Amino acid sequence: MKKVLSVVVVLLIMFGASVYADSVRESLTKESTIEKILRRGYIKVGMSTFVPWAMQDKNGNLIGFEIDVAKRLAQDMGVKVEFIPTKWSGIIPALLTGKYDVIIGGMGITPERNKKVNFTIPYDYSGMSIVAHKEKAKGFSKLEDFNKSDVVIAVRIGTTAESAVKKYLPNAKLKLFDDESQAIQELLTGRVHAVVASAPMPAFQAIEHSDKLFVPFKETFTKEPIAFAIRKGDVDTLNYFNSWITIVESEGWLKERKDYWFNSKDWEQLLK
Amino acid sequence: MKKVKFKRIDILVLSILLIIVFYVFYRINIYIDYHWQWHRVVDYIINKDENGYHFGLLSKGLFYTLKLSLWSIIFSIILGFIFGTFRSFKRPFFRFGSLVYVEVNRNIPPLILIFIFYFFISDQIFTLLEVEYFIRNLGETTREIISIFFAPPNLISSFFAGVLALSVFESAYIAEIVKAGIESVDVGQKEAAKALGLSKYQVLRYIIIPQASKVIIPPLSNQCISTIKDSSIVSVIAIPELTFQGMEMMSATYLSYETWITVTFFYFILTFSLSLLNKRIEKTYTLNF
Repeated sequence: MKKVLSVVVVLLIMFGASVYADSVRESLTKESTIEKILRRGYIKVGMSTFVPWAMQDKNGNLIGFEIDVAKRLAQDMGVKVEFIPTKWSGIIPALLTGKYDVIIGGMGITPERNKKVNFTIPYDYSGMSIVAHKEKAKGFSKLEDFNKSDVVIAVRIGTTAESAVKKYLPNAKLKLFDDESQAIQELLTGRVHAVVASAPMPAFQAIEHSDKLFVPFKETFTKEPIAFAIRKGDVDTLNYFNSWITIVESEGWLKERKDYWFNSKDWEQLLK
Repeated sequence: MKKVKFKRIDILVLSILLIIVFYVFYRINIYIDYHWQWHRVVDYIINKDENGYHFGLLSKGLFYTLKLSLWSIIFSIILGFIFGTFRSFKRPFFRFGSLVYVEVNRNIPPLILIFIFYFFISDQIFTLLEVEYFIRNLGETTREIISIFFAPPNLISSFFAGVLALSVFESAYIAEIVKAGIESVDVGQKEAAKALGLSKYQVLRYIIIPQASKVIIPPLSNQCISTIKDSSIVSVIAIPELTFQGMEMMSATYLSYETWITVTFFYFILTFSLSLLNKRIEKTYTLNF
């Protein structure tokens, strides 16, 4: 009798647990960002200006690699897309407080950022490259040349360029700017030796100001995975975005778009 | 209007100023060897394609600054008058309430106020009230009108947060101006009005406010100009006003000098035309009393 009773009790507990697990799963799915996006019919994307990832053309329309990615994502989901331009330094806090559903803004995965957000699988890789002043950095041709205490390097605050300089050029002095254009301006006036930023911006700047600036070495000195960032603990959404990235990656669509924005300058007339 | 007479010293000062301006441009050209590209700026103000003319990035920013300043000025004047008159009341509740309001808001930097409103009011309260959904669910035309006078749905909560923060900040100063104006009215005026049997409200409405206005209007118009200038701080919460658009344009084109000279000029047009308008208002107002 005792045996039968204990079996019944165990069965009841198991049944109860599975019912409970079902309801947890159901509510998780219902509360996932992806469900919310589908229900309301538009996706809110947080981004910040980074040429050529995302920028405003002269009429104020958003263009760039990230913009293409977000638009295609929305199209595949069957919803409209809404971009929310944000200052880079406040982009993660604004995601956490719910200003938008996802950051698609050329954000590199870092362990530090990963403490606050969840990242998808990478949909792009980027690396740091360097552009230097012809006179101030005369004869500099490798990374070690910049790792001296009298070398000053300008970067955009809060970017992976900042941490890359700290890691690879610990002896150099850092000068932080809110915007990359300010850093470039500082370089043009010759107050710093070089600017470190994600490729291809340094190369573009060297072409634009070929009389003053040069690229000391061609290859990038870091390799950084770029991913979407979403609020923590939303497996459903994470899975959806991961699958989407896998699909467009295998289609070759990502590479094609990347070539357009990074290896051609066909889009430049939109800014001129 | 008095005739302006130039003396030797004025001419000297003016020429020194001109020399300084030219020297700055000269330095920019020589020292940093800057390639001016003014023709590219024009497209960011107004440009043309096969569909006709379009307002550029900067013009759109100017329009946002106008909207932002206008609403902030209206709300800050309303709040400022309420709290300013409260200061003159005898009841401690009103007196101290408004004193606390003025002191708290005057002693918080406007940038911090904007973050408080952005992260607290617009995130917590607007989300709770579902302001965004409410606006999205309105009819097409209503939504259109809201977009023109305020901002499109995706920006509406930041826009309101910006307007509120600016209004609250500026109203603290306006309250002081209003208070000073009311205090400038002679006590005898109030007593005489009371003796005539006017009610408290009537005393305020017909005796005090009209006389105080003369003292209030000049500093008040000054505060309005300040509001336009202060509105540039809301660029930190990414409202696409003039300063934010200037930064966007600079990030995209790297034309730092051209961008900021143009943005400065736009702000100058706004503030200068407002101060001309204010002069006219002051004149007509002082003539009427």
